[in-house]
Amino acid sequence: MRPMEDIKKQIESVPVNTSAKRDKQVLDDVLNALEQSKKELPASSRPNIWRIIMKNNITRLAAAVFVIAMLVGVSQLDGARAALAGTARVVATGLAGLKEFIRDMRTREPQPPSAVVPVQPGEQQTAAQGNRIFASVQVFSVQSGQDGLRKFFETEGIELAPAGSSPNTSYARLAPEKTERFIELTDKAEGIERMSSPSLMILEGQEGVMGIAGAGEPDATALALVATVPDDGDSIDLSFSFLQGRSGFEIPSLRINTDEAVLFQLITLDKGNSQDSPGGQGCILVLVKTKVFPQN
Amino acid sequence: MIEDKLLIWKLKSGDGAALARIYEKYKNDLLRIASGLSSRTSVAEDIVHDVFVSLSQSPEQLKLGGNLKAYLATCVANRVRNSNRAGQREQAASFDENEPVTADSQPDRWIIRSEELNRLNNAMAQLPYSQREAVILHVQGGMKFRAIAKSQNVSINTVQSRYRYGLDKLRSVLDGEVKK
Repeated sequence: MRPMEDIKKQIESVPVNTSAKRDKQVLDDVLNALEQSKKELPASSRPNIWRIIMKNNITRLAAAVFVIAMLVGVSQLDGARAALAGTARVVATGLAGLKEFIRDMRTREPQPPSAVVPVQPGEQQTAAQGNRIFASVQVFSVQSGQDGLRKFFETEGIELAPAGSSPNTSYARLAPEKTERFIELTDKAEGIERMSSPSLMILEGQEGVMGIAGAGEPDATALALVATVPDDGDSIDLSFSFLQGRSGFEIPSLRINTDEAVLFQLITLDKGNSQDSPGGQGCILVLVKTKVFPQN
Repeated sequence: MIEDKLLIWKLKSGDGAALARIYEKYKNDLLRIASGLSSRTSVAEDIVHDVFVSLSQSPEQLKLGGNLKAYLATCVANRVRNSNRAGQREQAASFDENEPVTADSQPDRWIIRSEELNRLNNAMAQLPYSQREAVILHVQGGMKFRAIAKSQNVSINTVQSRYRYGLDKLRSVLDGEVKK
């Protein structure tokens, strides 16, 4: 008799091979369906105006005032002409306000993930507890040769450790003075441009996600961050996850001192797919600084 | 997994590359689950195809906090169950025994069956469906018993029993084959 574990392993590891041709056909179907769904916004995802109004205390109060104004207006219809005119004004103003509110709701663009703490279903939004961590990120693109950067790293004694291969990424912990000198370099050096400076506040142990480069492009880069604060109070444990285009990798745990920053260097290889721009090596630098706000 | 959360986030904003990555990452797992549950290759392929198409049609329904692989595995299991209910009962003996396993002879097939997969699926087909589902979703889908119980609308104890009995029977079927 084989042990149970053997059977489980056999089930887990049974190989599945697929036809590349059918793979491509199915993937095409799936991507076409996505494109189609972007064009046809389903009714369920359109904003439900009544639900939006009732969700917010202020808009709910405004709606109640509007209804009362309507009722008062109707009850005064057989009264003096001035009262009728006043009521009509109230109603017209209320209607205009409501129309504007509804128009705003209908035309509002989908909001990007905000820098608020993600709330799990069933969790009380106001009951947030634990340390809060503010993460500020600075993203730079290195457009020309990377010799200057390499020299800087050598001079400062910054050793980059490999972090992931797709995209090819390395990282280093930077002490406060080195962080300052790095920022000075990026301000002065030619060929290094600041791309974006996103930031977010997260609750300890919960992940925050931010787009850091190339929003809307196929090789857009996003960064997810989870932070926990050990009891010593002097350090912080960080988990990073990068996603670029179809590639991604995680750095599950990195302990740094609270005053240190983390610098990532992402080498991008597939920059040029078109005839006009031949492929080359690009580089993105991502500097992450954190600050812990202890629980009150 | 943080990468999955990133993928969900990007997919919800309509990113095709994220969808392609999810497809690459989970297609084999889902095909393995579907072919174990359904026995008929064509049904298994159609179900996985439909699950991905359905995912791409309504990405807004995905929750950032959920487990993507478990969600997809549940979608596959639900569809197989529906397909069975609709009268398309699987007939274990009828599917692969007559199907050669080489890639060349299966030009229109998505899954290229291996001897190992055939043997396991034939053994799986001898389990009652509820036991098969518990074993496959737990072992191949990586789902917790609680999640399986919720999706099958039964108690955790029932799922654990089904899993245990299923694995026992599977072991005796596979051992029997070895003895032959």
